[in-house]
Amino acid sequence: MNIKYTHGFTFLELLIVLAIAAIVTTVAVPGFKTAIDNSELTSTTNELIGTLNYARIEAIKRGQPVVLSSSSSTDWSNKNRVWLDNNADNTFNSNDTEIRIMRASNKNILLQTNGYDDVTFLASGFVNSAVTFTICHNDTSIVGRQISLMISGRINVDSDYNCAQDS
Amino acid sequence: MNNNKGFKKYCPLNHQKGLTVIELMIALTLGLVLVAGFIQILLANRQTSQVQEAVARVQESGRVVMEYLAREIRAADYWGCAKDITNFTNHIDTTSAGYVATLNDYTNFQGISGTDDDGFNGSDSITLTSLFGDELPLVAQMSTGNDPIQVTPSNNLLSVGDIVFVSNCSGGDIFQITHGNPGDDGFVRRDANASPGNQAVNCAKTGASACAACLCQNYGREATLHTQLNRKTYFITQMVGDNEPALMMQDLTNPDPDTNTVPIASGIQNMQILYGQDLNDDGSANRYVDVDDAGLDLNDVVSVKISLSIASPDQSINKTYTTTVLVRNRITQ
Repeated sequence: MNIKYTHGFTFLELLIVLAIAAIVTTVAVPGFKTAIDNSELTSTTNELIGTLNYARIEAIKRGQPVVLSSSSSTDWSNKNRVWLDNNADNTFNSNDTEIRIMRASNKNILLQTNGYDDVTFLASGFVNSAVTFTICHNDTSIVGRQISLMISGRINVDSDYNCAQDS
Repeated sequence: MNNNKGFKKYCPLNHQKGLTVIELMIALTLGLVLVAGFIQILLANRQTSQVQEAVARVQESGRVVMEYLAREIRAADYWGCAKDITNFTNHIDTTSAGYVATLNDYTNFQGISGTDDDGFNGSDSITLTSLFGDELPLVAQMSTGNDPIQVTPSNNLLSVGDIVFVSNCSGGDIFQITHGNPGDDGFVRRDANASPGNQAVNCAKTGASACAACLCQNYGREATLHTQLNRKTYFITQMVGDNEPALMMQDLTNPDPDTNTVPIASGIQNMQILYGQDLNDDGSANRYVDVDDAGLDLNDVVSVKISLSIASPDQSINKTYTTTVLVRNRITQ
């Protein structure tokens, strides 16, 4: 094989390819961003639903109240815990048994309630207060989720929540 | 060309073996039939599990809602030993700016009331009222009507501004705690200086007038102090967002419309309520009628019949649950 028969791209061809690649990426990346944002929302939603159902089932199984509380007031985006209030003082301390941790949501996701920082599941499966959770992205133009925990302990998910109305 | 010769030598065209088109088509058809069978099984399984899920949801909604409503109806119209709210004297100051009739007109609250066919889908609503919450026994005898009431010290239940219900078997008084430190020392004090505050009224039983700070009886250890009123309306409405109809509970003691209504369970399409009227005072219902029936006196209602129509979220399963609940506080003698 002789070197003078070697073919390659001309510089112009290379530039054209790069230009097309750039255009395609500009179109595709925002689309990916929406997909990523949505999956972040969905994952937090599923994690919350899982934790709520877990706390409810534990309360029914153990036949005693189980508390789910946030670690930072009505902002539930940080670590939340499921625990047994052994000394019935409504605050988590060393006497209480922690049975599950719900890890902090993605930093872009804001998980909030309508003024509640804890909810207690009773042995009957009912809850002491009907809490509404809203899960929104930092970018409030993205459609959020709203989870209504009803008095019966059942969950109703609204996956078409308008986050922009809060701000 | 040499290569070609070699190929022909080892694989001559007229000696090639393989599948004929017919064989291929038969194989494909068989495969297709097999796959169609699998898909059929998969779909059937999925449908079965969806139906089971829907049935489970409907049954659970039916169970929890009936359990909740039945418990509330059984507990309705409880007024301690005083038996009826009309045996209480309401001392709350009706002339005060802080007085709200829907919150404070206690002696006109009925244990059971309702509306007919005016809700979502023509649903009824029911309002239940009773004393509720902690019951504190009195620890000392009052010597005059304006003595403070004494309950257990360090109870952590009472605070200034609370409206409380004190009663014994011959009647009761409703007033606001206006000063002192009742949660700590157990002395429950009252005067006119608060909002809404207390006023001078005529006592329900005797008709005698009592001063703003006075009660109608000198209560002693036989009496108890109730700290809360339970007054709630149950009705059907569509939830915000997904429009799923739900049984809602409105706490009428909380005037804030943003927080006083909460859902109990969703999927409740309709609620119909009939009231069992006791016509001959024997403690059992003689007829069941709608609340707007002309012949119904709500004070004669001794049982309540509820019918709930519950549907799964996809509307595929629809069931009606009916139960009759006795109002226990109306039949015990």
